[in-house]
Amino acid sequence: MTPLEILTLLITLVGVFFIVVSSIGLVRLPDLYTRVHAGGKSGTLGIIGVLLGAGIFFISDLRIVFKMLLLIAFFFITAPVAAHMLDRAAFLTGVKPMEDTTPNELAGRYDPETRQLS
Amino acid sequence: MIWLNLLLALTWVMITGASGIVDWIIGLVFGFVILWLSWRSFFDEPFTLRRYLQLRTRNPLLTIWRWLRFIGFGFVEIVKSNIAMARAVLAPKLQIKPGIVAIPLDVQSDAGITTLANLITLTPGTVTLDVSSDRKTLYIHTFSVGDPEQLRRRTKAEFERRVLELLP
Repeated sequence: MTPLEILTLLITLVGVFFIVVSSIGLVRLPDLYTRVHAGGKSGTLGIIGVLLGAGIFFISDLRIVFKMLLLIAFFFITAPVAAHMLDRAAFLTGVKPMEDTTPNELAGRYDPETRQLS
Repeated sequence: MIWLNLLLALTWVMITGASGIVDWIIGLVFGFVILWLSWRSFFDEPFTLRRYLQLRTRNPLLTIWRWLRFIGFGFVEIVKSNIAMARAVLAPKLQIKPGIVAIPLDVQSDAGITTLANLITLTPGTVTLDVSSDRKTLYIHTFSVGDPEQLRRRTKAEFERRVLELLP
């Protein structure tokens, strides 16, 4: 193996590790809100690892490297928004947080009719 | 906002991989159309040529440096957050004490609130749930509440200060 291949492999492995952690988290964690933590966070470093691995393997073609960096940037903009929308939709439709969620400063703050949040 | 147009043109040239003069012109035209179409969602005011040509940033290098520093800070926080997450998930016994905490906001602009909310989601132990309709409070779900007061203080001092520096 060339050094480039080894580097690619290492970085991709780190990425895959965090994606696995993310999946384990989805199974192990107790409620939707904590599961969103697992999906929305460990996913990010996993995606960085995999995309960066691809970028480094094709480092001689700067177009591909740039595209990978751009993909990472877009992922950082969209992944937190997805996590936030999931959490918000769950809260609005009455998914209960796990039992010892204290404090719960959001409880009762939504207007059930208009969905305005005070 | 002519800077933004140049940035979009650069992106176009990098993606297509052709850097002749014609490609730059195509990039500039596309960038202009994109800016023109999405003007209202950025600036809350109708498109004017004067506003477009205005070089609002007095010191572009300083702005670029601040953004780079901000991205670097965010990246370090993301790595920390992922390691903390891996530890929590792989621990033999789950030790989590979730809570939902309200945080008062000082940032005013849409872009500022969005950036802060995204940063909070990507940093250790916290996910943004929602922003209040009057845009003065952010609700965040946290993995392990110690002291809610301390979490509020830390978020404001570490994250909001940095966002305020870039976007009011």
